Amino acid sequence: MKTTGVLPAIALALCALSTESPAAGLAVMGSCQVMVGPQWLIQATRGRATLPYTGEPAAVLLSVTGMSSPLAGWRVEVRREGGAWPEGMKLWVRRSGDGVGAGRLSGAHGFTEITPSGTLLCLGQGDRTGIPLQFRITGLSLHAPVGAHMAGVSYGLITIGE
Amino acid sequence: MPHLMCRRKRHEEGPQGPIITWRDSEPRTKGMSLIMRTLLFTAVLAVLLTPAVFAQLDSDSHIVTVTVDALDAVDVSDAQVDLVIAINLGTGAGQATDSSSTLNWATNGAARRITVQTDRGTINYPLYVLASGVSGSATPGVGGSRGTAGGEVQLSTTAQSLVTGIAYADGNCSLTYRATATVAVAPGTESHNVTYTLTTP
Repeated sequence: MKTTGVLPAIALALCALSTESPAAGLAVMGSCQVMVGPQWLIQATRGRATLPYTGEPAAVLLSVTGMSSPLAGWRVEVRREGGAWPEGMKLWVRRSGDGVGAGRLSGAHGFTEITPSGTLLCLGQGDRTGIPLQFRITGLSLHAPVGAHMAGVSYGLITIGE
Repeated sequence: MPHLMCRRKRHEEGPQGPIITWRDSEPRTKGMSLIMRTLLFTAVLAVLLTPAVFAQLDSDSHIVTVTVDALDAVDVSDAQVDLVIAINLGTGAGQATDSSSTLNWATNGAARRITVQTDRGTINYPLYVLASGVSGSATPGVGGSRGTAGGEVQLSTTAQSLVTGIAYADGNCSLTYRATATVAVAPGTESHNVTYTLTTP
């Protein structure tokens, strides 16, 4: 029967694809802490505008490792989780550098808003480590409640095949 | 079935030696039945749609902390104001005014007021200040208010309200100083250190 040669090939293909990137992983190092002091608030107020507050260029380093090959494609999605985030205050992130690695990397040069529903941060292929991320806060004004406002930022690694 | 297409080498003997030519064979799939093709297509489709190809492999997270400091700021534009009083011979009294100063304030707190006072205890020439033309910005949704100016205040060492009802706002107003004197008081000079304070009621 001719199908005896096709079915094993399909089975092999299934196994090969289902075991792709067995050790692929994503890790973030660092955190984002924004201190909005009185002087900044006064400047924002005197400017009669709600100014963005931009943090350090590499507050957080993102790494994607363990991909099966330099052509193994992936994407990273980012979302905001938990915390009592003030109304009107928005959190943004951008990729301020390329990191290192043989893999390709694209997207996220401009600031992207981090929402609870999640959004695409960047696309890549293969391993890429030390991708610097920079954060921006908008909606800060005298009307932002005094005190500490915290939110979790979650990153998800999703493979998209070769 | 490692290859669907293959090439076959053919040896022939010519006048000047062996001739080697290559000829493509016919595709082996020619004989594949419709059922097998359907099966193959279905299998490939299943592979493409399986979660293993499009799955979240790993995730990580960190915390973002935004700390907003308390702000209660007030400042006056002019460091020094000079008033020279000329006595009216007809009335035996006189006054001088100056409206060159501006008062600015900003707060991210609720229920604030601005008070004014002088450090001078003994005053021969009464000094007054009037706040007027309050402007600025405040967000109404959170009960913001840029404040309301009261009437003219005669300065003393006791703090008195000048602008009240300030909340989550920045504002400014004009200040008008007025000093008075009469012939009953000897000529001279009085200096005041006038202090404005943004405080809670």
